Amino acid sequence: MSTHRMGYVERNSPLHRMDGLSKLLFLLLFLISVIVTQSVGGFLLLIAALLLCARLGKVSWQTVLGGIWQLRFFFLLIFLMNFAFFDAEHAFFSWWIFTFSREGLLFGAKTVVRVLLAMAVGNIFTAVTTPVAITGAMETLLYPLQWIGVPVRDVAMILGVAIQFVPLFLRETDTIKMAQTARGAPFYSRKLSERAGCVLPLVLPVFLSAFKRADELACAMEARGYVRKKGRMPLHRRHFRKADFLCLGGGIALCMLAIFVFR
Amino acid sequence: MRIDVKDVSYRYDDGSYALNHVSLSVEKGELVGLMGQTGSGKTTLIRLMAGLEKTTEGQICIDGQDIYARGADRTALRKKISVVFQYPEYQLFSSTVKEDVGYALKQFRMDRREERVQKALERMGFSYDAIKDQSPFALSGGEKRRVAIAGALVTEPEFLIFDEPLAGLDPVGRADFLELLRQLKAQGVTILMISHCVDAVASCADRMVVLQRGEKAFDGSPAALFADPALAEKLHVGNTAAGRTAALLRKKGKLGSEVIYTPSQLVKAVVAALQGGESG
Amino acid sequence: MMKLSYVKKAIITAACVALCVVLPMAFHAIPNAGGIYCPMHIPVLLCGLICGAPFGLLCGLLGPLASALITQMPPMAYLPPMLVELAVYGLVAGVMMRFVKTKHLYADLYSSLVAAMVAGRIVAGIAKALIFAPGKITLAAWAGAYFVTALPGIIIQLALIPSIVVALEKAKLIPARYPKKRG
Repeated sequence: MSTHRMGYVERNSPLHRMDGLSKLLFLLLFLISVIVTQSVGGFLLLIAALLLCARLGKVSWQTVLGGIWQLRFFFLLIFLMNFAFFDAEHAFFSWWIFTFSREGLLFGAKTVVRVLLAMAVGNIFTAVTTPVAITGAMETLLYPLQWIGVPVRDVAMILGVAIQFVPLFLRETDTIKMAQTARGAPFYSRKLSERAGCVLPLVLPVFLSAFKRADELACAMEARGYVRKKGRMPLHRRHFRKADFLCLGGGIALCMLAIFVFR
Repeated sequence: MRIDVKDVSYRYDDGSYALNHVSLSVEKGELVGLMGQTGSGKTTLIRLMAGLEKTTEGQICIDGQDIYARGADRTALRKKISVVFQYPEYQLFSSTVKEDVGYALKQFRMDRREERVQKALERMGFSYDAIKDQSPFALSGGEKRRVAIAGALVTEPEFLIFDEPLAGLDPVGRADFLELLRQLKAQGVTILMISHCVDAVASCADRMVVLQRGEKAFDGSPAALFADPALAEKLHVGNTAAGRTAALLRKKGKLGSEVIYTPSQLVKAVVAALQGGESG
Repeated sequence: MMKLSYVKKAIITAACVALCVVLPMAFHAIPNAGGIYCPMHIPVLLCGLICGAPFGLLCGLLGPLASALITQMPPMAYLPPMLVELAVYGLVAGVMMRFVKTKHLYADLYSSLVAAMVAGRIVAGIAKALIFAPGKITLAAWAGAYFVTALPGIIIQLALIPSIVVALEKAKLIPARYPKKRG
């Protein structure tokens, strides 16, 4: 059976045992720190924090760096775009619309490092947090939005149902792909035009199957009297432990350092 | 076409086994019923046999050739083997029935496309002219399934694999499908069928293979399996309706100890018992 | 066939959010398919076309977010411009289907899709420029470059999405936009 990388890697580690919300909040604080940090010292601190997270989560370096090699041309592009177009006072080489300078080089390098850090921390987060924990955390984060009129109950319901659908649709997609491969669909052909021809045989049956399941579930919900709920969604109580508070404290500290020290 | 599964194992990324050192052979023209509990490895086995997945260990050989050997032509293999997965009606995608059924012919660049499509559809009980330009999505569930099976038969395969073909079918649909299997077998097509329906498997299979937790637990004739009711229970195969009826009659002392698992065998035994009773 | 109820729209949106997670994984296994076909765009556009602007907007926000958090596709760095792009897709597709009624299904679909894709990609191009090269390169250059490189994906989606909508109508999984009168 072909395996789909949902990201989560089952282990018994301090990070795995933590609440999903504390990890999600740490992720957001880390990303803010990545965006705000300017100095080399700040980047080194973030890298150290990343390595600590990988260690605590028993996440392999392959998982941490997963997907980065595939995006190498994108990194090259953003580096070059910044290096070649930075509006610097003292350029060491100029030609036509291109201006190459030391400031541009540093800016391009920092941008690439920011993207790498964001990807790596995202990989660690995905590896140590189950999809159910992620959606629970997202629902809690959405909770304040209902005070400004966002229908958070409905959004939470949609998110919860979506996560339940994911493994089901994955299995069906796998079966459909196998069935079409058995009928000769060239998913792995070298010719782009042949691979393009495989999209419809895969995508159309997947959508039909998905919509049929959605229709069945909606009918079952309506038959059991489900109606759109009015009023505020109750807040699901969280049970933070010492590790969760430490994690949040660490995230806030990183953020403060990035804003006030390493800016 | 003869298929040999030689000491095949399939392991997931987390190290657990879906199949663990399974060996079996399917002879040309045989109809083999593959049974076992959910998660026993049946679907994995058929995917490996159809060349859709690669084994972790062991070999799959078609007419003596390892399908994953260097230089093996898996496209030629796919022309000869057709697989019908569970609920095949969910795999339709073309705008007309004719296009969907003919998809494999186009991919494999086979000739006489219109003739083959017509033959496959008529074999499934359709009137070609009435059905060919219809949208497959506008058909009923049963019609969709028959169109999907026609799509598998269109390449006139030597080896057909069915994964739970009876799931969701009404009794008439089941009877029609089993009749189709008999016709295909009579034409010399080799068939492997996964099914939880022990009555269906027992009525048409030459051999039964039962998997349990990724290992082969039984490989033999239906008669050999049902001769040992304790074994059949242990393998979660159970007994056929005819077999259960015969067991009840045996308890009442009305039948002998012959192995019974099909309705015709039961009728024969009951008639013999009645005639024995009349003369005795 | 009756209109879609609120519950049906909500569950279809949930299915489309799930497909935003599943389709990139399925396409990831096919070499170079993800970058060209932009598989996450398809369920978002469909959700907007079928369920309307609010659900389309929600799908455009939740889909890439759920996918990024669960499977790291798209990577976190790509997420902000993608959220913007897909949210605009879902919103504009829904708005266009609400107001554009040519009595021909394909005409409605194509005009809604083109409007949604152009709007979404321009907005996303601007967002990318602001994130990756703030103030240093003209916004027009970034938006233009992004739009041109996305052209193959646009063409493929324009071919694919109407086929899906027609199939869904024929299978009676969604109400026909212009039902054919009997007799």
